[in-house]
Amino acid sequence: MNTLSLPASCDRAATKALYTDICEALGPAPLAIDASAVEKIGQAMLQVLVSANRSDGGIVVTAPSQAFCEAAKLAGLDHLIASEAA
Amino acid sequence: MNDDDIQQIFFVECDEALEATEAGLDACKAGTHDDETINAIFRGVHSIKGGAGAFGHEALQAYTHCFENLLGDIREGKVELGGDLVDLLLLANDLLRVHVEAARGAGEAPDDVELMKRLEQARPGAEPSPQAQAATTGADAFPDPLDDLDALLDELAAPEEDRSQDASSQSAAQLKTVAEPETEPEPDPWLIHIRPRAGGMANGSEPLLWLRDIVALGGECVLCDTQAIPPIDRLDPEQGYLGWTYRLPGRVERAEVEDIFDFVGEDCALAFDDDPMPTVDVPDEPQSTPAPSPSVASSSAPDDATPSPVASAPTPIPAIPAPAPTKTAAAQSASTTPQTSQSVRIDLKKLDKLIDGVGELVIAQAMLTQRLENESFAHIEELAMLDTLVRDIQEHAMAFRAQPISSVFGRVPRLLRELAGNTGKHVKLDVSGETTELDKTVIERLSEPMTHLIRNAVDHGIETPAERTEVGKDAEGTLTLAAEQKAGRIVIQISDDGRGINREKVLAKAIKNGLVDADAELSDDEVNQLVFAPGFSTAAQVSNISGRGVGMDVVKQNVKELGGRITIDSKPGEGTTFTLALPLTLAISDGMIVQVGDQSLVIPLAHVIESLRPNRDDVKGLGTQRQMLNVRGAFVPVVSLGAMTGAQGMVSEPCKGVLVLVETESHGRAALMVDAITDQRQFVIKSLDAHYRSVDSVAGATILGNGKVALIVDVDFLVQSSSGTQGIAPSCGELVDAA
Repeated sequence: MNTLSLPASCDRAATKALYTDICEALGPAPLAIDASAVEKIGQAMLQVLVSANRSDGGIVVTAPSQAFCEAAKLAGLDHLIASEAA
Repeated sequence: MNDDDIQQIFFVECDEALEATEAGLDACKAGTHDDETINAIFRGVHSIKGGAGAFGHEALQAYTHCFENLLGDIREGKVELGGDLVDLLLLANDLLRVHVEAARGAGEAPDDVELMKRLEQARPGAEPSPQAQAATTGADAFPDPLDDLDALLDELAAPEEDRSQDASSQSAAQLKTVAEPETEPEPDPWLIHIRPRAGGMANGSEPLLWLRDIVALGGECVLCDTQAIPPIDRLDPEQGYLGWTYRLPGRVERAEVEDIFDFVGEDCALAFDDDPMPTVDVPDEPQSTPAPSPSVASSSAPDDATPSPVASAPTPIPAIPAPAPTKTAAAQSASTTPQTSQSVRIDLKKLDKLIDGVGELVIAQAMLTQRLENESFAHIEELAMLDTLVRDIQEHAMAFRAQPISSVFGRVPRLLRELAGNTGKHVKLDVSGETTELDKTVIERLSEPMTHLIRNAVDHGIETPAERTEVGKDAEGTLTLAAEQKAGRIVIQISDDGRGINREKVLAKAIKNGLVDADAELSDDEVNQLVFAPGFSTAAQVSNISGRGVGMDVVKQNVKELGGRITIDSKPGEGTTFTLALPLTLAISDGMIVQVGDQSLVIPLAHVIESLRPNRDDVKGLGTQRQMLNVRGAFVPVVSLGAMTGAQGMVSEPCKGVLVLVETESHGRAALMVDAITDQRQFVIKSLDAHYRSVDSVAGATILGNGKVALIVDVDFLVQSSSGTQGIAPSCGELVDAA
């Protein structure tokens, strides 16, 4: 399984920088997104993850940090975290 | 524009809001306020709160929330605005300024615990706020507005089976946290639909921050609309695609939630209750699927590709109250656009580049004129047209940088309050001419010398209340600030009604410090000027306000660096007036170009009254070296510019040259003797300090049309030197050689 780690600050600029990497890493198998280092995350990254999750292989968020979980729940996107268990 | 740029705009707006609140509170203090004054203060604090929330400055947001609560009560007439309350609000405003500076990164956030407690206590029958409660326990210097959110998030993070419990019990649990009286029926909850504008993130908008504020009010996410998110290969990571529906408890007023979006402007559209979710405005992204109505039923779909429900089994919402007229933030903005689009913020660096460009244009125009004159085209129409256009552009460019001096005067009340706290001297402030405009750089650099002068006036000038009462004065001293435009310069006066300068004491101190000889005979003005000498202080004890003997020296240097002058007028027992004469602008001015021997010099036109070629009878000798010119019955001293420059071949007799009659700020009129007047035009002022070094009799340098450097004469200094005991600066001949 491919793994891609998110940086501490997942703001708009970081999302823009990581977007291509995420697109290229997606494939038929789920892409593991390591969210353990995330300290700050905004709408831009969350919606990229939602879109990535709809791709063929989807994504699995692994070891989400507390900041990631809080932001996902705030945005009503906690199913992204639930995908960890999937 | 990145997030930092946008945040800088927020801080600029904070400064503006603080000026507005300070001015409003001063009006309250003076008793000249009305309802609109209170509204303006409220708006100022409210806008800072909105921005603080948007940019995540939680301490600032918590503090402004507390401040705003009290202002809201005052606005609604629940609290009477008395003298003590105004003092409390002034203190609160001072602390707000410190909070803003801390958010800006200048120092630590202040300890606001005690003041927030006082603000809460000033509210009518208000329960202490969570913040104030935290203050009383001393648990946290800054109540974390996320505390409540953390609790909710913990609840949401609980195991699935716990979360799937009946939502009504969740709601009840939330209601318990706000301690609503159980006897009162809970109003029905209501819905808000939030649709950030697709391009809003590019403006620095972060919708999750708004959601956090909604959660803090007790809001609960019902639905996240993810339908607009395109496949990953067609997604633009800088566009926003999400929308949310939040449910809020009935006790929360709609206005409270709308407040969160005040600062958001056009970056978000809102709808309420059973109105549809506003649609996405993603450019070039076809809306194949109509935006879903935020019906609860649609949120139960578990498919990832559909709106994501937060609760797996949403509870039917109780009977929704009759929908109020829908008013989206975007619609509100649209209706106000014509009023708000009248100004534009420009980065100061861009403006400075424009000014520099205009300066070079002025020089290039002078060179072109010179070139055409050499070719006998000096009077062609196009040249006159160009001259007019360049002058217009220059004036407009300078106007961009002009700011009212009220931005400096507006900080003085706060300074006086601080000084009152330190010295026990309560001082009334009398201000006039605060709309006088001058260059932004002058304004910025004026703040420091003015602060020194005001501190000095209160600390040394104004007596203690007991001393004042003893000599029959009002126990409260008065500080007067006045500004006016006069003879092409800005004149600022700072006056106090204190004891005045004790000249005997000043002279004794100067003699003791070796600044003057013991047998020196100095005029009153010369004694006054001694207070500007480096290291001079008559204060018996060094205080933390003034008295270190560096302040007044720095004041003179700062004013001189601005191309200005400072003079003192003091009357024992009546008070002291400091007069600052400053140039309107630091960049371009009008001047008379004169020839003295083999040198060209520039006399600033603001000083020039007239020029004349005198008859032999008009000039009288005074002693062996000085000459006086009879100008229609009044005698003025003749000052030879040639003596200053050390130029070769200049005229030595007034009747063979030209006398330029000039006016100075403090030394009356004088006639500057030159060989000839060669031109009158705009010139670009280049700092001599930056390119060579400071020389007393020279205000700067400029580049003439022929490409040569010409010195700009410091008329005030020259006339002062010629009338006093000092000789004309001997170093100028050397300077001309260097130029």
